[in-house]
Amino acid sequence: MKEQDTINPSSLRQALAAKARPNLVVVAGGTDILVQLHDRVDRPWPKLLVLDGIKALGKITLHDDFVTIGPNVTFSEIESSPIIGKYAPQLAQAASVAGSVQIRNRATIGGNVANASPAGDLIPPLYVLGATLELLSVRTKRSMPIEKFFVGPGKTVLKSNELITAIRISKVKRIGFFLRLGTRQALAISKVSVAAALMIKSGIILDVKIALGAVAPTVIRAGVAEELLRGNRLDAKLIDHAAEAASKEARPIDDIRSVAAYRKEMVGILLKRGLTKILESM
Amino acid sequence: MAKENPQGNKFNVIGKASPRVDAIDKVTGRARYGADHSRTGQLYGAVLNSPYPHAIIKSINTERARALDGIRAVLTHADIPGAKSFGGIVPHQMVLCSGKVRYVGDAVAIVAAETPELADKAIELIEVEYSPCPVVSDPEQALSPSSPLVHEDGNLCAHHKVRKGDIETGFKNSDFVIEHEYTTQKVEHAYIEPEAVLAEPGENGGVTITGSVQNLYSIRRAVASVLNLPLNRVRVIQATLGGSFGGKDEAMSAICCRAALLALTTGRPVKMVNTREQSMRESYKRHPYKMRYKVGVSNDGILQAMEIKIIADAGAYAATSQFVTWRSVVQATGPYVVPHVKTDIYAAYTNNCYTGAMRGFGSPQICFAVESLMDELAAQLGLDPFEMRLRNTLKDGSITATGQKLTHRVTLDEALRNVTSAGGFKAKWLANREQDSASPIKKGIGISCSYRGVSLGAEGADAAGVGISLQTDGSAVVTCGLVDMGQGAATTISLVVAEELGLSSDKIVFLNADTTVMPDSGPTVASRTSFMAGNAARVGSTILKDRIAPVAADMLKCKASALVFCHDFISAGSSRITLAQLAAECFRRGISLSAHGWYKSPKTTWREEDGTGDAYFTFVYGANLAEVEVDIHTGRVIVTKFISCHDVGKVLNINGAKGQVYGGVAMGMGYALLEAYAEEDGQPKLGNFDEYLLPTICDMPQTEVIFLEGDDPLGPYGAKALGEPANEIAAPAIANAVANATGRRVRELPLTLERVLLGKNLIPGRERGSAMAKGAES
Ligand SMILES: Cc1cc2nc3c(=O)[nH]c(=O)nc-3n(C[C@H](O)[C@H](O)[C@H](O)COP(=O)(O)OP(=O)(O)OC[C@H]3O[C@@H](n4cnc5c(N)ncnc54)[C@H](O)[C@@H]3O)c2cc1C
Repeated sequence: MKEQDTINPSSLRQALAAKARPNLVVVAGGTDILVQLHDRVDRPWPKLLVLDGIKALGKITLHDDFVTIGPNVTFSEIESSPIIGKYAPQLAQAASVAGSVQIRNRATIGGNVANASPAGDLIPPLYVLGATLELLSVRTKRSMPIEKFFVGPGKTVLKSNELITAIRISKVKRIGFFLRLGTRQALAISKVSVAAALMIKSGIILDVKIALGAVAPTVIRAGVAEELLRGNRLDAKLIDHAAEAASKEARPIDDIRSVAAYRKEMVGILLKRGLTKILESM
Repeated sequence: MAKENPQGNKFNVIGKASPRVDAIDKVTGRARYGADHSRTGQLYGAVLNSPYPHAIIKSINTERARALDGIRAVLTHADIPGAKSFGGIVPHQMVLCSGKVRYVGDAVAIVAAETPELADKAIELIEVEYSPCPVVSDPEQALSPSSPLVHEDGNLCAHHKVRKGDIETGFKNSDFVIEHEYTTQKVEHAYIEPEAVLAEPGENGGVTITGSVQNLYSIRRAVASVLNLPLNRVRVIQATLGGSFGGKDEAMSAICCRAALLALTTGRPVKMVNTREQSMRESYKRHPYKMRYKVGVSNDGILQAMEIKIIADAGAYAATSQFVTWRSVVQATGPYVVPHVKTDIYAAYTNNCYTGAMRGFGSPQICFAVESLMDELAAQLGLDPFEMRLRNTLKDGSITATGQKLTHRVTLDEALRNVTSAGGFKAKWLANREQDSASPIKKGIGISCSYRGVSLGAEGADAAGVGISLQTDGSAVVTCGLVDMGQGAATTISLVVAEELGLSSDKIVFLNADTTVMPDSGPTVASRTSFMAGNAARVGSTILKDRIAPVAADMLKCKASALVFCHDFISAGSSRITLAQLAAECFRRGISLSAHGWYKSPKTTWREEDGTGDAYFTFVYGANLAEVEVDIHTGRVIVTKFISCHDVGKVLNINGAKGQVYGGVAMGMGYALLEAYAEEDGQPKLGNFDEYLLPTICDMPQTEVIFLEGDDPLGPYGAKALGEPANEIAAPAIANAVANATGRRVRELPLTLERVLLGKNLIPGRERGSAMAKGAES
């Protein structure tokens, strides 16, 4: 790689000041953006704003009602964090199966969200955990539920002067899972993924969220399946119904990684597997 | 020569676990690969490829490119002084296209510039006017009379046949006949190092080329004829190779011709290094095959007849298609005795990326078909696959499909017995058919076997040389006309010299191949290197030893026959001298310390009219066993265990031999489960390893290796071949295991999740996955 024109701020303030300038490309772990820049035909490369010197953005912190995950937190850190293991096991599972050890040591949660791939593995868990994103610019500060953030593949509502500065999840304890299918054991982007979070009391599902990855232009919620499950007793028959409903809610396409018919069927299979495991452990 | 020893315990280094001679260079970064070679004042070359798979070139305008600052040459076909095309069998592969382009890897113009960026810029400024032609993308349709022509003299690139007995009689003698079609996909070699070359104008008006070359001599012939130079003015030096697997032949000829042309035009060194995307686009691949097998058996499970028709996609140029399909036609019946055979194989030109040599060379395809078929026959007859094979395998003295009588020891049954007993095949195979229906995870076990002709066979001239130069301090320099491309040839050849001269192998420096140093030894292909170069090394060592032994006898005052050369000493009884002392004394007496060994392979014969003859001078035999777990709800196949048994004649270096098997299994697993180079109407649908998925270490099963030492009378110390056998039967063992697990046979590779579950494969997407999703809402 050629030597690159970069800005390496050590504080968030400096980073936001730099971000106010146009035509700057943010680099966190670089595992998505460097690949995208490599594929670009228009040279020379743009100026890069490298975030990994900002220590404040790389922390997982516990608050009274919520957990804050800094955007620079890596997949490896998520995978091994006891806090995440306790409050967001789906997220830990997703982080542990993505990429490879090398990728997980570099790849960040902020990069995964900002890259806005419908196959981004941390996004379905964040959907079902009801995560909130904090978006900052030099002058403004806003937060929004993660589901409002995505517009399409690679497209978000992030403004050119903004950065993702925090990801928040509530400390309400739920059970759940993340399951995915890829072409090989490591270094494979998901063909399909399913995440769920449930609150179950004496066998009755009080609340449930299900998110599907790689089967629509953005990660989507399986609203119909959730509706079927909510307020009912979890049993094999209900699981079948929910799986069938979720499968219908998927809107996949044929592409290099899989075919639509396969993806649709797999949504049901994965949801059924995850829910059945919960049922068996009850 | 050191005496062959049936117990194999008399050798000092042969058969032991020796580290690679190039290991330290490679792990410390001292090794210099193609792209590591640079010269001050060098220019950078770039290529303009065709955007169309098939089009007439109406005009080429290079004016704007030439006008750019820092551009030293912009060349087209008109600037080529000699032949406009090259090719070992059919010399029609265009260095730079004139009349028309035949695939998207064809080059139309080349540029040399002061920087790589400028070279790219100049490429963009070249204006070419094309008139697109209808694209020929299906090899079967290419052979129909109504197809547009890729080459003027027709789309038939090769046709070979084998006729044995009378096929109609064979089917009459059969109690039943089955007929199936099997298809295999196009795959990429995926060497870790893309093509790289440095071409320098020589003081003698010629050119010196240093690069990632597999077959130096064919590349030299191409460059010499394109530049109109005598062979002695084209020097090709092999840089340390980062893998090749058969892939760095014609693909390298093309880039070498272009770089040499630029170097001689500008009078400056020119460096050309392909990106992975260029390498994928331009470089040839493994032939995809469509294979129709009609097979008759009698009730006792004995094969009576095989009628085989195969269509191979040669792509835009012939390359080695004639030879690849010839090996297929010879081995198409698998390692079985079949009294009546009728085989036809056709290779057709299309506008797809051309295909050529790749590890296996026409065998992985037919192994997949035959070995799947044997299991299907077994199922029909109610036999287990092991028993079915044993009833039909080649044995000592058997006659092959081409009418060759096997006069060496045939160890096929032994190989099959080894893998089946080590893997507990029969019990598992039966148990897997009655698995508990509750779990979606089903176990499967499968076997496969093959025979394979060693070296080039009746393809053509087959000889190789090794040079040995003993130094006065007892060290030695060894070199060879065949290359080490990662397979370990440098180590193997060094070990043979070490064994013969009683040298320790760390006293040997092995030089990369250089066309001006060694005579044309043919290509480093066909698993021939250990056999051919190993024998040449023994010949050379013997010549040298016969020359220096009398001096040693004189120094030790004994008979030459009493001398023992071992561990850098020469001893006779209790007195001894060092090899260094001997070498110094020889030098003082004016005795040459350098020798050259040459080995020519035994005779083979071939009659093309009916496909009969002693196609290869000897064969190797092997068997594989795979165990898998298939998730029948998702189609995911995990290979959990692999056993590979090969008769290598004699293991020369156990480390190297095992390495060949592990790599072969990994490559075969990629072929079985993952890899497919997708094209649509002649356009590649993927460009890099984010989309072309190879197995990673996480997919590798625990692999057990069993070697048989059948002891070939001709091989060095009895050694035969291993590189390609290790690869060719991995895929069918896996496919058979999957069928055992699921009860369903998939006759197409690769066995992706989608295909195992739905019988349907990926449709190549036009864009990356996430980008494609844009269309989802419409
Ligand atoms: C070999 C390989 C395998 C992979 N496997 C997987 C996988 O299995 N699952 C998976 O989900 N992904 C996978 N990926 C994709 C990638 O690793 C992830 O999406 C990762 O999370 C990206 O994080 P990063 O820190 O590397 O982001 P970067 O590449 O640095 O950035 C990605 C994007 O986010 C923007 N960005 C980064 N941080 C911020 C911020 N704080 N505010 C605003 N914008 C920001 C960047 O400008 C860029 O557009 C793989 C990638 C590779 C190369």
